Amino acid sequence: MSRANGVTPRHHGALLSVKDLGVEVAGGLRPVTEVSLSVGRGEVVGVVGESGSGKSLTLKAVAGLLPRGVNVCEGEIEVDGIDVAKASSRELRRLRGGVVGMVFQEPMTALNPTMRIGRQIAESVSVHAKVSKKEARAKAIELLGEMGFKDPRRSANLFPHELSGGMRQRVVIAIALAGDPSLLLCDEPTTALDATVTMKVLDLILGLSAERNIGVVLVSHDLGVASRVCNRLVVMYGGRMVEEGPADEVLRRPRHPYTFALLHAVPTKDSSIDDLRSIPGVPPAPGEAGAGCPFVPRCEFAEPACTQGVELINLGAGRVSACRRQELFPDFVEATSE
Amino acid sequence: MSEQLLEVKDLRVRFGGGRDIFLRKKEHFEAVRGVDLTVRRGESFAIVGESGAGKSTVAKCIVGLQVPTSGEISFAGAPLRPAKDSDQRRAIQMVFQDPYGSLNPRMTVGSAIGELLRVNGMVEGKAAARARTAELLEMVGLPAEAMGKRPRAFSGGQRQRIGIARALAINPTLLVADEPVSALDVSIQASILILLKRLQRELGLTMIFISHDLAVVKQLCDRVAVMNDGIVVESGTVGAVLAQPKDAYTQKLLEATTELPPIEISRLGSVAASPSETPG
Repeated sequence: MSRANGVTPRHHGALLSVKDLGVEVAGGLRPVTEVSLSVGRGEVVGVVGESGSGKSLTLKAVAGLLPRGVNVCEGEIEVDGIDVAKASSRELRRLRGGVVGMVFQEPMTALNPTMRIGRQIAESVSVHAKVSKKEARAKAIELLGEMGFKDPRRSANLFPHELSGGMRQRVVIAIALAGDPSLLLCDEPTTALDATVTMKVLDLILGLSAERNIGVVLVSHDLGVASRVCNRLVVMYGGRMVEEGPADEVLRRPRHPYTFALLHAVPTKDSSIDDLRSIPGVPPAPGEAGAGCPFVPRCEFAEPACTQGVELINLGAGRVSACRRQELFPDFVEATSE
Repeated sequence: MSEQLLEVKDLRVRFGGGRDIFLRKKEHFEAVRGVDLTVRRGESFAIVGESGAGKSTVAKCIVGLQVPTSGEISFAGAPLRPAKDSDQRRAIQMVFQDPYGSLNPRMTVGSAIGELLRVNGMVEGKAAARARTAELLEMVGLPAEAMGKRPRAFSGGQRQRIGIARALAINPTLLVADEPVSALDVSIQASILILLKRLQRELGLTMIFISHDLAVVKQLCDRVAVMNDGIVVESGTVGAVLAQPKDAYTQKLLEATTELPPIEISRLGSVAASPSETPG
């Protein structure tokens, strides 16, 4: 391919642009349907949903890391101007790590237990840049410092098992940043961590997005985690996006019955059990939801037409909802007059 | 209410130690380093802390799954020795984090709970066992047909309901729940919390609730003990501890607790509104 020696962004605005993404499993199941997503520099976008909502698969599709037998069947994914679906394996390799850094849930499985962390970071530095061993090591130590290791020179000699969970995740983030990516994809980066450690790692990610001016996609099942760091939220359910918008607005004034119900079901330190409302039923298994709105079986406002199909409605001001019954929401009048 | 049901005094649990096969001394690790707790009859008591704090080890000592290195636990005025005292064993039941792991995958729900009932002499005969099982399942919000199915057939939330029904089957005095909702999906958690609260109120159960999440504890519990590094750093009523945490660690934990901007919509428009189709 001609773009072998340098990645020239075609779009100035979005680093990542996903349009109507569909993911298909051999056998015909569709665990992800019509997902659109765009992330710009310095932006932290949260993709929130429960297990089976398709959030992780969406992220894997973006990184070109879908498991065997799972394919992108429709839509477009463009990362920094490169079409991921059509990219050669060589282009994909440069994309991963070079343009896109990834952080996964379980830091211990992402690290090599037999290799000192400094070497692991230096290794990914030299994969993405032509540098001497010495330079790579210096960069690794610098990255460890940026990650908040107090004595990075000494820490570089530690093995993963000598670190706590939070520190391991910092090493994983350092590796993800070794190739100076412009987009960081984080799949449940704090789920395996304790609450107090979670906060520190989230602060780190937030700081990185600002200082390095990179785009971040944070996939999480935890609304609290997402609300702490994200500028924008995409809420997913049953393989579809149900709602998108500025994080604070989605959380304060949701425009989809699922988001509404979920927000009333999450215990927070200000809620009381008597205010909590449970959501009857269970989420659909991946790919199980039909053509209509996946929330229909659990939605008290569902109408027959809801089972026919789903259309994303642009509500203005960056807000999108997949619920056709917008008249249910108090903002309805306001929004239509815009 | 003020009568104490369970008292834990200077509980210590040490793992490791001794010597390895080369007679070298092994390092030991003290998971619980002197814990005092008092749980009153009818109350819901939370032990909160992060991984490694020792909260689950304390819970295991209370249900008899772990032998303490030293310290005393008394239950209803008598020293706790569940290994010898089957009445105590029956009186203290546990709900686990992973409901699937706590259910026998090869037994139908009906036979698992039925066996428990018969072995413990709660009922006589299969018919009575079935009737009581149905009653228990209804109590946790499952249909009687659930009896004929195996755990595999249920979702995570339903399995946790079965786990709770199993724990309640032999009328325990004290229910110890170790992170009962942490493995569940967000949209399912609330229903299990609401169920536990209802059971607490209806059955007057005493409950010890182990959790890492102060937000969850707030929904369910009256009093809380915050653990860190094997000791209780702070305890008191949930209201007081959350409103004015005294210990620095509790403050840190509280800052890390789920907080969302307040939702400004309390209900969605009336369902009865015009069902007419909007064009397009």
